Amino acid sequence: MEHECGLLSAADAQTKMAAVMEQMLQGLNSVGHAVLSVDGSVPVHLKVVRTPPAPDHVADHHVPVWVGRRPPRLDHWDMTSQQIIPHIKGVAHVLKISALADVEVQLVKACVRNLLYYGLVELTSIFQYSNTYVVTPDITRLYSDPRLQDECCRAVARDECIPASMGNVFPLYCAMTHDRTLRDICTEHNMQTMRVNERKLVQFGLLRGLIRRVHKYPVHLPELAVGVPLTGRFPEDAYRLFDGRHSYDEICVREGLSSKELDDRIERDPSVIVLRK
Amino acid sequence: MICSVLSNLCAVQSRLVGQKFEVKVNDVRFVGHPISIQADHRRTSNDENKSTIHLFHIVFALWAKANHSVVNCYHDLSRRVGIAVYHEEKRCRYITKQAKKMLAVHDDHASSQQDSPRESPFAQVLATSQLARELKAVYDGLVQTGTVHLSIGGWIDVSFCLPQKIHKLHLEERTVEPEDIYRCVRLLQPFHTLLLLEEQRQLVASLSPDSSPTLRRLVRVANPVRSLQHLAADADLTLRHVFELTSQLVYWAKATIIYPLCEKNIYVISPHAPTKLNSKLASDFAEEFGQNLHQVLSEYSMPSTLSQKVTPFSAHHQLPTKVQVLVWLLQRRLLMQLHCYVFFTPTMRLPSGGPAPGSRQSTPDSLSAAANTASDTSSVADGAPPVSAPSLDQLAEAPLASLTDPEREAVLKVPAAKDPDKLRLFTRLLQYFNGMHHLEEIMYRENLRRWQIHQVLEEFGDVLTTCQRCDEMSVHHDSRCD
Repeated sequence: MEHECGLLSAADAQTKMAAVMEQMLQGLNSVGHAVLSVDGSVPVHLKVVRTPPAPDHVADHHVPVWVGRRPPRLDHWDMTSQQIIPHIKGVAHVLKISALADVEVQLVKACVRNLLYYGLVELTSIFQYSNTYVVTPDITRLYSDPRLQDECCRAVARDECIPASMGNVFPLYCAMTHDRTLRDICTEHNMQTMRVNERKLVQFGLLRGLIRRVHKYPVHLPELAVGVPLTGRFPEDAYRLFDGRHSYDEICVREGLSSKELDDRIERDPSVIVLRK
Repeated sequence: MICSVLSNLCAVQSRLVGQKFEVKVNDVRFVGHPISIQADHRRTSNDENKSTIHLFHIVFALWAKANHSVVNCYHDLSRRVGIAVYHEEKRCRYITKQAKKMLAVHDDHASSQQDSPRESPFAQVLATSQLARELKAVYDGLVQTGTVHLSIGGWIDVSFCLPQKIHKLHLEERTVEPEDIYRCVRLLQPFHTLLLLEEQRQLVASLSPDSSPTLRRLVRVANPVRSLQHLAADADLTLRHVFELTSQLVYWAKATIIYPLCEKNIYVISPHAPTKLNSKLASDFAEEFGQNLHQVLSEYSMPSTLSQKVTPFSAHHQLPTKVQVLVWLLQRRLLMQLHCYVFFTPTMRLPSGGPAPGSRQSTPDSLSAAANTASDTSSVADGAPPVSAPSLDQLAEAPLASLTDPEREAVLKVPAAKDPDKLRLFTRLLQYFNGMHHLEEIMYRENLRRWQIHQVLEEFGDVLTTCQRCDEMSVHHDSRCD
């Protein structure tokens, strides 16, 4: 600006400069960005960029879900993300997306982290009817906030045109306890007549923090199985995952088992106990 | 960066004195609180010890990334130590004398540098100066335990704790911010109690000699089965003061807040409990009780009460250890308690904006309640009101007046509402049915027994929804993890 119009050295520099500073202050404080231009010089664009903290690590078994109602437009993104975005539907986990999109897992993780950074997706767990969910204290928000109720009724409906009724949805959330799996809840309540989609119900609850998943962590304690025959045991190297740090999801995805298979085998093995938390 | 630049940086102008000092240079953030010493030693002005020090400043060098709350805590520590040193200076010219000693050592060192160039003068300063030793004690205390206990000049006590550190030592893998503690303490209620994290005797012994006698009294009577209200009576203190003392103990990681232990409490594994094998926790537990931590924890995979854990045949010798184990687990926050919360949901049950509730055959289970309320309207309207309406109106008009018409209608449709006593109890409890108060709190506030509330919940089940969850307190306890 100095070169173009002598912002600093001109005779009326003081008044001009003051105006520029004022403009900058007002712009940055009110809308977060400002465009400075003096006497038709090339404009200078300023913007305060939000720097969110680095997103968490993305694991194989995480399921990315769009936070908004619609996925973003494809053409803004890089080639890899364009390949992956159609497969993010809140159903497939990272490893599966990698297989579906034919993209290397590490690249998928990097892309998902990138989307996480911009707040476009959130990570949830794999949806299964054998999962257990429990309500969090935030459930009171659903009770008291009519706007959240409206949003919820629309989000969990089977048919987007006919919203579900709060009178049906709220007891469903409240029925989620440690000793009921989603399958139990679905058999106790008739989801069809309530016009509630259980997958959307869980997804909305998880995204809004109304409910949380109770994960199962198998732990291998060899001293429990002393003197018990070896039938039905896992191969020795499978035990290294049963150290209390890996959840069912993680083990299933890594070993390519279904959670029912894992459940059955753990039940047969006396040296493995399961912690739920 | 060379020392002289650093000392120039920290020797602030007089108008910055008595304020927070914070400078970030590359990766290091300097935090302190400069304090000036006015030259008001009139009576000793012609003394040979005349003070040449105008300002002193205790500065901590932290990582630039350090959290805002951590920086504030260090600023507070600098201010506390600074004020103590200032008073010592006023009393016996402490800093002047100490500085003189330090300078003398540095001068000696400079003059004899040719002989032993490797030895640091600071080691020698440590040997001669008490202030240097005190500052070292501050550093050591912070690094090792996150607490500082010292008496400056052997006269003024300074106690400080860094909550982020002290709680981390206690609960591995978790960070507790001071804000979390404040939030917890704000939720404190008379029916809560404190659970000491150390042995009672050990804790009393570790308190500094001039700590409040009421604190000692509270620690002596502390008992995880008695509520704060009872403890206040036991220790002959006001409830308010007990709250303050409890907050203090929680801040210093000497205690945690729980709901008093009883047989009906429901516990489950906390979502943030570290469950990895071969942890220090597991070995500590095995040493303490001779059992396997994970095996014991797995008993709490499903919500369970203490009474479920004890078989009636061996109750006498089992219960004490079971309680000890439970206390141990609660102290480490491996377990959390579940409470029952109640919502008043009369209008929610009525199907709104859906298809007509005529298809009763296809709606089993829970929907039948909704369908009933709609289809039973006619039968109730036909038979019951002429008999019961006048008496009910007199009894329950005032409390139910806060409800809207459909809500009141839904309540009066419940069969139990025809009993005036039951309806009166229900209206009394109605204010708690918003999901913010758990059963134990309602019991405390309304002086009721558990079965009485359960009876209300059962009889008015059509207009109420219950859910089981942890309370807000445990959320704040665990809000920042890993």
